[in-house]
Order: sequence, then C-alpha cells, then structure tokens
Amino acid sequence: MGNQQTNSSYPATEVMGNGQSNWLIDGNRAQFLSAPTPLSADLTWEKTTSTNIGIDLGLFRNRLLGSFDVYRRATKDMLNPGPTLAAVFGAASPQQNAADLLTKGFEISLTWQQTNKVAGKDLSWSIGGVLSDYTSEITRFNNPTFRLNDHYAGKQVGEIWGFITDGYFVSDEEASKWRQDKVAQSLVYRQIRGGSGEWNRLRAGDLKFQDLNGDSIINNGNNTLGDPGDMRIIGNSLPRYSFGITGSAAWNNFDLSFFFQGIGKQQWYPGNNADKFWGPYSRAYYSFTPNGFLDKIWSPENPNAYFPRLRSYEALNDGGTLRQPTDKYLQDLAYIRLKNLSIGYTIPLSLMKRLGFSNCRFYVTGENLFTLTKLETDYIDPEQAGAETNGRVYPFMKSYAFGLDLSF
Amino acid sequence: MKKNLLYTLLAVILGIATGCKKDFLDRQPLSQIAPSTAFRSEAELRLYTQSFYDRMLPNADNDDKGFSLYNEGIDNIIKNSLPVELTGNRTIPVSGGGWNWSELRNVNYFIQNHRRGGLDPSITNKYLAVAKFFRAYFYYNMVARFGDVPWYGEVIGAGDSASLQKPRDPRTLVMDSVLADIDFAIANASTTKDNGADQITKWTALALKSRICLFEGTFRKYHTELNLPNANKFLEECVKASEELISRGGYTISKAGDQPYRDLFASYNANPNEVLLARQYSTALQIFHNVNYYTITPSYGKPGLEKKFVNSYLMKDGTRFTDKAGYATMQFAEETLNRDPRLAQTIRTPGYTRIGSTVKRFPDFGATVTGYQVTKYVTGEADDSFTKSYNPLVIFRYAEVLLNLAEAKAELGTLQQSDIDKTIRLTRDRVGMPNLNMAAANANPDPYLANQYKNVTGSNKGVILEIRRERRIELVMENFRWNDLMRWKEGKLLEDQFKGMYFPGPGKYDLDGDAKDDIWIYTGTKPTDPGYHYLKLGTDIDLENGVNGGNVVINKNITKKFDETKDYLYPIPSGEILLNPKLTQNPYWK
Repeated sequence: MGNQQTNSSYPATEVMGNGQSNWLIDGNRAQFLSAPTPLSADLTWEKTTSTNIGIDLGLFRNRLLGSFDVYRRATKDMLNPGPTLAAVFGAASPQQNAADLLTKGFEISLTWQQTNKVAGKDLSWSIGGVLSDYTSEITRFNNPTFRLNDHYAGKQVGEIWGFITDGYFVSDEEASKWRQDKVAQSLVYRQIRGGSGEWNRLRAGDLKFQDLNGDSIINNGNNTLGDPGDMRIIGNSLPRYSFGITGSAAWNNFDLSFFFQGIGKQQWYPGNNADKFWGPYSRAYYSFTPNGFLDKIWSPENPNAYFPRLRSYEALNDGGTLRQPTDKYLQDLAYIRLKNLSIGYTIPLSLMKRLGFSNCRFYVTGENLFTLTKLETDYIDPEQAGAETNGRVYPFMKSYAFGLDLSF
Repeated sequence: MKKNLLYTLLAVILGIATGCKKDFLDRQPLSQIAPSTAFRSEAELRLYTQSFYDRMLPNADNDDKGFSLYNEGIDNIIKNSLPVELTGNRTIPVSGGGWNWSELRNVNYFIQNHRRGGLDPSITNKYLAVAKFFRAYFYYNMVARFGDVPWYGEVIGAGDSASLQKPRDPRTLVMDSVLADIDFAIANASTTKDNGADQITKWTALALKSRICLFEGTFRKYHTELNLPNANKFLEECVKASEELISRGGYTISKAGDQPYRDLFASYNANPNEVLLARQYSTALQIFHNVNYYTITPSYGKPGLEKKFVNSYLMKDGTRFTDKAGYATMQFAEETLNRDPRLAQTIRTPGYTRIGSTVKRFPDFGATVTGYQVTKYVTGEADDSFTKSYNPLVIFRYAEVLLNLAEAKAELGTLQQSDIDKTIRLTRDRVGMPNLNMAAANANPDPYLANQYKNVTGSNKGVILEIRRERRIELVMENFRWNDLMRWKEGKLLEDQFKGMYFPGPGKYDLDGDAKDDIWIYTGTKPTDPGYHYLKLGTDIDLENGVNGGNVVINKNITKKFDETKDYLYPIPSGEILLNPKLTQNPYWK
C-alpha cells in the first residue's frame, strides 16, 4: 500500500534508460539508451491523520493488566500508480499522490499474572493475549468508470475477484449441452476448447461455473464494477484477527513459557505455479505429487473429489478453468501455531555456590512445534503463502534445542 | 543569555540555507544520464537508435505481437492445434491483444528530443532516419492489425487528455504519414551496404517501403467494401522503391552452396549478398533460438506443410503437378519426384540427409502431423537440443523485393515479360527452375490456384496466380502468409480442412523409395515386427475415409471459421474503449 518509500533512487528525477540488448551487432550485444520512465511532475509527501482512543488498565491489584486501543487513520495523497492511462500513452502510469485511504482497526491486550503457593513453594504464573485487526478502504481514486484493475473509491484493500463455481458436470451429456454455442468464447474454457482431438469438449467432472449475468459466456465482462461479467468479490487477501497468546510459569526452580501465534482469516488463491497445491493441474511433468493427491481427483467412482477431472495445465495457462480465482479453490490461511515452548530448571543457589557457579540452568526449547490450519495442502506454510503467490517460500523449520547456561 | 542563543541559532540556520547553491534541490544524478544532458554526442544518438532493434523487430518464436521469424502457422505450416484466428474464436480482450504502444513512445521520444544536444542535422539525420524507419514499421504493423489507428507523432504527456482521448485516424491518413517517414529514412539513412545485416540502411528502408506499399496497395484494391482510394499510388510507390533497390543496392540472389536455397537459411552467417537484415544468434553469448528442436520433436505442435501448398510446387520442368493425371492419389515417394527443387530443400523428401550426415531419413510422423516435415532453417545435428540453434534468422531479403515488384506491376497491369526476367527468373534460377512465361500463364490460368484465390480477375489473372505461387513457395516460414491472405481478401481459404500425405488405407508404406517399408498404419492390435514406425489408424493418424484411405486429415474435430465481415481486422481491447470512448470498435466485433 501507499507509503513514504519508493523503490527508485530517483523518484522525482527522470533518467534515461540504458542496458544491453539481445540484438547482436558484429557479434556483440548492442548497448542502448532509451526513453526515460515518465514521472509525475508534482510529487509530494503523503499526509496521515490518526485518531485513537486507548484505555490502559490494571485491576485486582495489578493482576489483570490490559490495554485497549481503537484507531482510525486517514491517509491523504497516498503515493500510488496513478489511474491507468490509455495504452497509447506507452508507459505505466506514473506514481502520483493519487489515492486517499481510510484504515480502521483495534488492538487489545490482556495479561493476568498471579502468584500462588503450591506444595509450600511459590508458583508465579501469567497468561496473556493480544488481538488486533484492521480493514482499509480506498476513499478517493480518479477512476470514474470503476475499472477493476485500478483502485476505485469504495474498494476494500485486498479484495479478490473471482468466479463462482457450480460443482462438476455430472455426465458427458450435460457437459456437451452446456452453453453449447458460446462455450468456446468463455475465458475459463478457452484452453479446453482450444485443444485438438476428442478432449476439446467439456466432460463429466469438469468444473461448471455459474453464469451470473446470463450471457452464456463465462468471463470478466468489461472488468469494471458495473460490468464484472460473472465475477464477484469472493474474498480478501488482508490478514484479519492477528493474535498471540503467551504464558509463563515458575515454580521451585522450574520455569516454563510458551507463545502461540496466528490469524483468524486471510484468503489466498494459489498462483498458476503453486505446484505444491495444484500438482499436475499446473505442470503435468512436475515430478512431485502431494501425498494422497490421487484420492482428491475426480473420477466416476469419486464424483465429490476436491479437484475436477484431471487435465494438465488447467491451473497454469490463461484460459484454464483453475487459472482465475474461484470460490471453490479459494484458500483460508487462518492458522494457529505454537511458535515457542521452553522448559527450564535452575540448580538451587546453595548447590551452585558449592560448585563455584553463580548461575546454572538447564533448558529445552522448541520452535514451531505444531500448526493447525484451514489451508488445503500440507506442503505450503500458511504463514508464508500470503508472501508469494505460488507459495514457493522455504517453510519455517521445526527446531528443538537443549541447553545449559553457566555463569561463573 | 537566552536571546543570544536564539540569535546564534538563527545565524547558523540562515548560513546553511543561503550556503546552498542555487538549484541545490534540483541536482541531477551523477551516475545516470539525465534527459537534459542527453543527445550531446553522435555516440549517444547511435546508442539510442540501438534500443529499437531488439524490441521492435520480430523474435524467433511467437511473441505478443504475433510475429515470428520461423514459427509460421496459418495454412502454410499445420500443427496439432489451431490458433483462434482459424477457429473464429477470437474474443475482444480487455487489454493487450497487440494494442501495445510502448515502442512508439520510445521512438517518438528520440524524434522529439534528438536535437536537444545541439548537434547539426548533417550528423543527426542519419539517426533520425533509423527512428523514422522504426516508426513506419510500427505503424504499418498496427494498421495491418487494426485498420484505423490514432496517429501520434510526439510523446504523449500523462496529463495530455486531448491526445489520450483522441479518436482513431483514418487508415489513409496514417499510411500517408508512414510513407513520409519511410521516404525520409530512404533519403537520409546510411548508404553503406551493411554486410553484417544487423543495421538499418537506406537499402533496408527501401525493402520496407516495398513491403508496406505492396501490402497497402493490394489491401485497398481487393477490399472493395472499404472504398479506400489510391491503391495504385501505393503499388506505384512499391515499384519505385523495389526498382531503386534493384538498380542501386548491389544485392543479388545467392547461389552459394550445393543446395543454395537450403543453405541461405541454414548457414551460420547471414549471406551479405542477399540478406538485408537478420536477427543474429551466438553460442558465445548463449543467445539461441529453437528451430531444429521445433522441427524434430513432438512437443511443438508437430509442424508440417499443408497438402494443397505442397501440390502447388511445380514440376522441375515448369509444368504443373496438379495437371498430372492421378495427382490427388499419388503417394509420397512418387509425388516428390522431379518437383521444384525448393520442395526438397524445405521438407524431408526421399533421400533426405541431415547437413553433415549421410544417413537417409524419412519423415517422422512423431514430429509432423501432415508427413511433410519441415527442414528449412535446420542446421546440423549438433544444434538439435532444446534452444541450441544459432543460425541467423532473416527479416528482410532481396528475393522478397523481387517478388513484391513482380506482384505490384502485375496488379497495376504494367507487368512485362522483361520484368519477370529480372525478378522471378532469378529466384527460379537459383534452384534450376525454368523461367515463368507471362503470356502462357495468362493464356491458361492454373485452375487449381484459381479455385483457391477466387478474387483474382482480369487479363493478368494467370500471371498473378503464378506470382502468388512463387511467393508462397519462396517465402514459406518467413511469416508472410497471414498478411498476404488478409490483403488479398482470401480469408475464406482458411476454412478448408487441412490435409497431409495420401495413403490408400492401412498397411505398410515405403516413404523414402528404397523399396523397404518404413511406416505401418495398423488397425486393431499393434503388430510386433521390429523396424517400423507404427501409427494406429484413428489414434496416431487420421485418414479422410478411415480404413478406405485418403489424405491425412488434421484437427478434423475442430470447426474452422473465418467471418469475412470482421475477421480481416483484430478487435480493439474493450478496456481501451472504456478509457477512451472515442475509440470505436472495429466493425462487427462485439
């Protein structure tokens, strides 16, 4: 989203393009100069206005500590690519102070801490949690025709547009009769219908789409808010309800602490090269097939499988049934993960003195010990899927450590 | 005390503020060239013009502009799938679809700013000529694709809503501007012949003018429904440009090598006598294309020549193959005997060997759908791996200009036998074919071709058909066919069923004429005898009449459609019409 940083060293000064081309002159790559990337002449700083109401509290002799914060932040003149210009302009729309944004959110944190006597010794413990959430809306953007590839006033940041599915075709006959004359013009069936031979027909087990605007062609219409074809907002890619839970306890030289982290909701549509999710639906020759994948593929014996009839490249290529976001394969990245757990034991002071140490503690800790998630695949980390559309990120490692702290 | 401190502080601030030189906040980066300091030397002008080549000239494989240097499809080279242009399933895109103007911006930026450094026109005009060559090339391609397009002679500013909201300019206006650009390029570009074939010269500009004017002249002549004026003016300009290049350019038709037509395309250096401009490749720099692999593997659509096209190759003595009795049911080894030698230098025919090898190879139905497996551009086996070809790929060559001249004169009605003697005679001479006889051709127009090109009429009908035959054969795989069919208004040809070799039915066949059978078309269970390439009828190969034989048919399940009311032009992206409502859609696209 808009911010005060730009990824160019000279965001306000035009410089000539230059480089080496693939055109060979006398056997060498041709060096070249080219037109500068157009810039907006009147860039200025963004302005933000924040309002927040917060309460900090300590109750029950400070056993319960809490804070509560609600905020509303209005960003004016957010730096953003300007409204899409006609292609004849010949370059990307320059960065401008083009948008206004309104963000609303809250943060709550609560901690309970207490000391009890257990078996004659002090047990001091605490448990706490934080929860935060926000949504952002574009309140100004010069987009009078409400094209969906630009921002528009009233757009929720992160909204995902996609097609609504209607299950699978039950029989070859149903499939062949469906929108017969127009089916080849459908964006989502272009790959199937463009094939050769007997497989260029819709078949039982192929994905069926809802023809929401009734024109028999499944596409994105004019790609505007007023005419989005058969697309609807099917989700939002912003993380919602981020939370953390921490706890600790100490008793009789033993100590324990843990930390859970997660989010309540975040939607993600696997990219066309998300091969760990799509398997052969992306690239047929991909040598990795997820465990148990075969049971998830449609067949006459398995008509309610998660994936449709197996056709290669359907998720990879434009015009494939799985290429555009659909409600059926939209993923929820909600997860909870035990990020850290550690248990320790400190040798009593009297013993240590005799050994000549000032401190001696044994401990064991583990990181990322378990994860619960709604994401359909076991091979992509829900915490990182949002970071790369194809989920091609190294997952966090599960790690254990045993240790001994000694001080002299 | 406090006051003193305040004064000191004020003094320091003032000192800093006034210490800055004027324009401190507007300093230009030192590590980059700023537009205000550019174009101060001839070297910078040359560097800038070098940005046009790679980005604006076609690539080896298909790119988003639909051009390609060897990967031609249409009805010349048939593959196992059909492009949307042939199935009638072109849709109106929201964006893209060839409506890409970034290269024009780059060219116009040069044209507008190249004098900024104060260099004299005697130095700068040579480079301006190159920029105008590319602007003409750009607009010619846009007009060919979309018809009317808005003309922009300058860089458009982001806030210039008048330009951004401009309607399309009439084709006639745009093409007049194209003509002015290319004439400037011809008058001012370097006259030194470029033996490296990697730079734009006066001669390349003449070749481009010849191409553009033939396109526009014939398009206007045949598309009578559009009532476009001045068809003859463009044909005459084509004649003028072609004749100037012929008389002054010093180019010839290359006869180098033992198979000169094959070797022109398979050689590792562009032939400087015939080739005006080529895209070069290099093993040292790891810049390759993929033509060898494309022709020998199953994974690039299994390209093969179309049967009707193969039928149009004359006999070696100049008579027509399609006049022979029983030509339609002739098998491969027989039909390829004594034909125009270019056939054997374009596809695998009996006795074919790879360059640098003596092993005879017959067509591989695993790599060609029609059986007529292409060999044009194919080099030795060392380059057979995926993207390891590095022979240059021709963009402009002299033979095209000769054919343009003959066609333009024939369409104008000014063609003489002497014109044929200095054009088509030369391309035929290269391969030992007899000359074309104009009077004989006009006295007896080829019914086989007349049945394809139905819009050709008049007293030159016979010779125009022969020129089209020659053009298709000589320039196959060089990406002319689509534009040719569009300008001749012969799109309906694309609806015909594409076919391949003839087989009388299932059985064993000898493809290379060595009396030993090579392939076995079978039904039922696969025989187990070793030594055959097995093709299961109905699965690996389709014959027109199944077990009763016939020609190989390709993509028989796909309906082909060419709607003459709209398909000669491409649609404008709907998102662009939304951004600029004055941009009207092409007729009947909705």
